[in-house]
Amino acid sequence: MPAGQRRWRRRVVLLVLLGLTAGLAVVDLSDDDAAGSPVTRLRAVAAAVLGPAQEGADALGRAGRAGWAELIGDETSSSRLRRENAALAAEAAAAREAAARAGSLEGLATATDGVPVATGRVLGVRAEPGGAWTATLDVGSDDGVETSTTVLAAEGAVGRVRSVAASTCEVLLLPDPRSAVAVRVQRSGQLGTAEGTGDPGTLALTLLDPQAALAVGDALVTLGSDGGRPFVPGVAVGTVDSVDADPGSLTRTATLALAVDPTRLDVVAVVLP
Amino acid sequence: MTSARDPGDELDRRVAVLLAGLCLLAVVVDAVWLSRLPTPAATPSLLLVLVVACGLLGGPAAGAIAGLSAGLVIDLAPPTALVTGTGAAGLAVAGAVAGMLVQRRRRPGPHAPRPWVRTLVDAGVTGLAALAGEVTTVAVLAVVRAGADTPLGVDAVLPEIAPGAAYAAVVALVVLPMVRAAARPLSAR
Repeated sequence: MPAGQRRWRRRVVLLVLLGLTAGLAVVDLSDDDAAGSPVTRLRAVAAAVLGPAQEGADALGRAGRAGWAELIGDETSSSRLRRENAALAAEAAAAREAAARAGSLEGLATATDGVPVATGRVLGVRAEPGGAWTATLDVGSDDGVETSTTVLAAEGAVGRVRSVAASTCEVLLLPDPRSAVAVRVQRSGQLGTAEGTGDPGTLALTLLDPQAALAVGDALVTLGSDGGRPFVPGVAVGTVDSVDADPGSLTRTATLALAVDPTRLDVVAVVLP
Repeated sequence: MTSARDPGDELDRRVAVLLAGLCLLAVVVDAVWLSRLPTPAATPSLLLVLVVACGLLGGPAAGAIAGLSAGLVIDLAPPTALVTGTGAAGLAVAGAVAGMLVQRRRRPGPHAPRPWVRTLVDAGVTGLAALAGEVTTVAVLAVVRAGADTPLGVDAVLPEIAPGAAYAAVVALVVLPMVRAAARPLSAR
């Protein structure tokens, strides 16, 4: 093919892709998460294809780490003492990890006492500064997971299920700008909303009563909705980090420190409807 | 690259297939492995560096095409983007900028640079391209969130841009020499 023709064809491909991207962005902005939207359908296809790939990569990563630890323990130490030392250290690390895993599972068990849950692991996280905070889990509709259900870790709320594929699901984490959760101040019983800002360190809290008393360190829990969807009541969300002193404002605003660090997620539980 | 053709201008078909396969692999690697590394301030990305590689080997148009297609995949696949197209826009600009920088760099000197010089220059180009891509993504996000309840706090985002570009340059130091080595036997005929 002559170079000129190839260049021309490349320009056409580029224009088509640009148009496709802009079109999808506009559709996505205009009808967010609508069931019949082409963007939602494309997302479902992508999830069905890449979900199993993510599960495979996650399993491979875990097997690789285990194999590497074994290799180091067996091969690279020249003396018996060093080998023994490495083995002991590996054992201790494994025991610590098992204890931590058991601890977090135990914490989850008490946090979700009496509520049917599906326990899953985080496969992948998208953490865009100022943008999306989403994660994929290794549980899906096969495990009974549905959309708009609460996701918990041992320390508190993680987010809500946004979409479900067969063996994976996507979670909208609390820092995501699309995330808003109705909360109650534990000390005073005041009601409000905690919205994501795209910054994992803080949520924006707005109280309904502008005169409400609010102090740094006040704990907030989920208010819960009818049927426990998207959030079940009484789950820790975070503590008040700083209070905005704006007397003219119609609402009381503050920033929150999250109960669960969204950058350090591992085992989580999804509340089943 | 010892090929007689200008390497910054067109991408051999087999190299394109290799890069496309690597990009698809990087989509999964980024989401599952790199996103969960406890790196401070920002998350490194293999896909970004591979898109830059497309720009370096094939020019601005190839870089932009690679960035748009790979970006659409990561925006639509869970964990999804805030709005489809934000990641695609950033990657497209990164790929195109890499292509432009390398074309500009190639024009004066006909002789091939030493390998270590090229590796360092590639890393620098990757850093600049990543910076341009990240600024684009933040700008798109700021526009998208302008009318929302919680608009984008630019001061919260800015501290993450420079570390992100630095990570890209570091990943490029390792990855781009390998990509060039893998592409050389495919494109030299």
